[in-house]
Amino acid sequence: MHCSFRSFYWFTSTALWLLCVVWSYAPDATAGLVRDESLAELRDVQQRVQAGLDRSIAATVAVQSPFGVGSGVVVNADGLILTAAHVFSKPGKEVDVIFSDGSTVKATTLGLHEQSDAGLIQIEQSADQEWPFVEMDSGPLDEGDWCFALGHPGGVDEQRGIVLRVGRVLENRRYKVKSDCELLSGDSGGPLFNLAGKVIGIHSFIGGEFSDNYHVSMEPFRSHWAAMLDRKLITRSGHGQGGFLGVGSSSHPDGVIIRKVLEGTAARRAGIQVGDIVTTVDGQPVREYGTFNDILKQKAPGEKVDFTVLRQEETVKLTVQLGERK
Amino acid sequence: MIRRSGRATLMAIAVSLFLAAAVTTTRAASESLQQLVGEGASRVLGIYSADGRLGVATTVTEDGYLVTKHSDLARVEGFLEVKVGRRYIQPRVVDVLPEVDLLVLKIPGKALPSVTWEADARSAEMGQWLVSMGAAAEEAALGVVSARTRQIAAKKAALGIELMNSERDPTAQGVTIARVFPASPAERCGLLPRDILLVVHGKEVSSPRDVIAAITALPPGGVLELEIARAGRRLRKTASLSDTSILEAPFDFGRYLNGRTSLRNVDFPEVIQHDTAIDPALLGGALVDLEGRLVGINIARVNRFTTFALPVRTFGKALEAVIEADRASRRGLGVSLLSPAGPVGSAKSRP
Repeated sequence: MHCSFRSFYWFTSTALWLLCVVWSYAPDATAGLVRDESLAELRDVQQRVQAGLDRSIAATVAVQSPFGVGSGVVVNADGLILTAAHVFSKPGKEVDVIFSDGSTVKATTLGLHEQSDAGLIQIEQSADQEWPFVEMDSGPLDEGDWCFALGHPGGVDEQRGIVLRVGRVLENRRYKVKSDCELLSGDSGGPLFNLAGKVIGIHSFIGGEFSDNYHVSMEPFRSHWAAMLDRKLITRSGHGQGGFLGVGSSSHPDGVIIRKVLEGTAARRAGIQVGDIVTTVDGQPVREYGTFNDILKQKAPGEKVDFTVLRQEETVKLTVQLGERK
Repeated sequence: MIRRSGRATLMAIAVSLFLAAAVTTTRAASESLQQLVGEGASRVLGIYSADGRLGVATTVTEDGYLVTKHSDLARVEGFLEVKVGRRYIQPRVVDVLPEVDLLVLKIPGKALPSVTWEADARSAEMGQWLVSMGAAAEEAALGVVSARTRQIAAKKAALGIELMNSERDPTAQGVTIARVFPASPAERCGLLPRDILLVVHGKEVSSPRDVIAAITALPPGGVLELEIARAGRRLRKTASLSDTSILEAPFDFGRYLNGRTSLRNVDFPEVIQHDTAIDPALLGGALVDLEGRLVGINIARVNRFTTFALPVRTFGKALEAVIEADRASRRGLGVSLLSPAGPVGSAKSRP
């Protein structure tokens, strides 16, 4: 009956927590239709979900920033929190972390990996304080595996508490996991668990279908761990940041293989060739593209960088003076 | 949790048809989920009007007492029918339990498939599987208890409009609508910006204050009659009211993403929250555990993935009392169970 600026605030804050929402007016959309699960399997899933639920809920938090509310999950006793990058967007900011018992503590945002939407937050440590936490999963994850999601859809509601959803892994990609655990704004940054109660994903964005629920996989956290702890903002493909090498590359069992060398770039001048396999950059081993890219992004244009490459089973050492992205 | 293939659906229908005949003779716990939903489907009946299927009702006694969600049917004009097997039967309206938004209906019968329930049944625990039953096996859906079982506080009713301030022109007739909120009752009943509200729920209105008073005198889910002026013509509109959350968060994606939500989803003494996104046309249907025991009645679709159900203990004793009183009065009067039913819209409802 009345309009206020609150409406506008709601719109902006809601929109912020969803990277991508595809509008959908499915007329009779009904999720969770019964299929052929046996009662025995369902009872087993229920027992395993409920077994670790108290602990999982205790480690799940709300992250309150000036922009709005997201979720997160504590992964060590010192109070390190995995969340989604879009929940805070910048390293070194102060946010409030709210536990399921209502207690609120101050925390600082660390680094983030923009491409995957992975982000880290550190609770400000007081002496000897131990925080409830869960572990990150490192095992294989298969499509069809059961999983469960926790978070604060729509924001913190003290009476309701943290909200659970049980579903299955639908896709497992390098940087993202898709599930049918349905998410809403406010869930962003919250944990997706396997039935062992280990974190397999961080809620990131949704689409228009019931099955369009995407979570950041553990991979970007692992491959950018040190840089994120070091409060680095790792931007997409280094656009506008860092020195420019000028190659197309991808992961290879022995390192990173050069697929393309652009004309007039630092790579061409240094004699890097298509088919070269980069094994170290500045003495640091590179086993996959993400690490390779991260190291280069931390170098300034004009900086000299040592490469070790495998070229037709010979080890070759090269020094590249990085250029500027045009 | 994924839609089944067409072939599996056909099989499920076949299974449910077979079971519909068999359930009356067996009381053993179900062996499989398919058997469970087949049994459930025989105890949940479709409710129809001249326009087609409106919703479902759950059979709670073998002699044909049914419950369903009241507010979604409250605005229906004319007669309702319940589909039992292949027959369409006009139910008698027995009573309304307004605190829990349940309508009690009666159809004739002696040994109808009915849900088994205990008035003081234990509620369900977080993470427990629950099966939402439909009138056919393939309408059933699976979910878990997803949050604390709790009371949902009342909110004031809302139509979803913003009004022009008419105080500048005291001679003007009615109150002009400045804005219609998306997915609101106002939008659903066809109100447009610049429509002029003349009569709201039987009262002539001349200021925004009059309109607000008339709307908030009704509960969320209540039915509001309107007379409006549009381009010189006088029109009548009927809206089922929602609550003020549509004004606080008009762009809350969750309310319209993946289907309709309920107009009344507040003001319940206690609800079980579960992560099953059921079609609102299945509200009033039974919610059972994996053993087939009635845990509650689905009562409100809240957002993209949330449904509220009334635990049996919130209505069990009141429902027993209503049924006992009705049976006693029918015995006393000696009237036929087939006596004509009135339109549901005229049933006792909250002032």
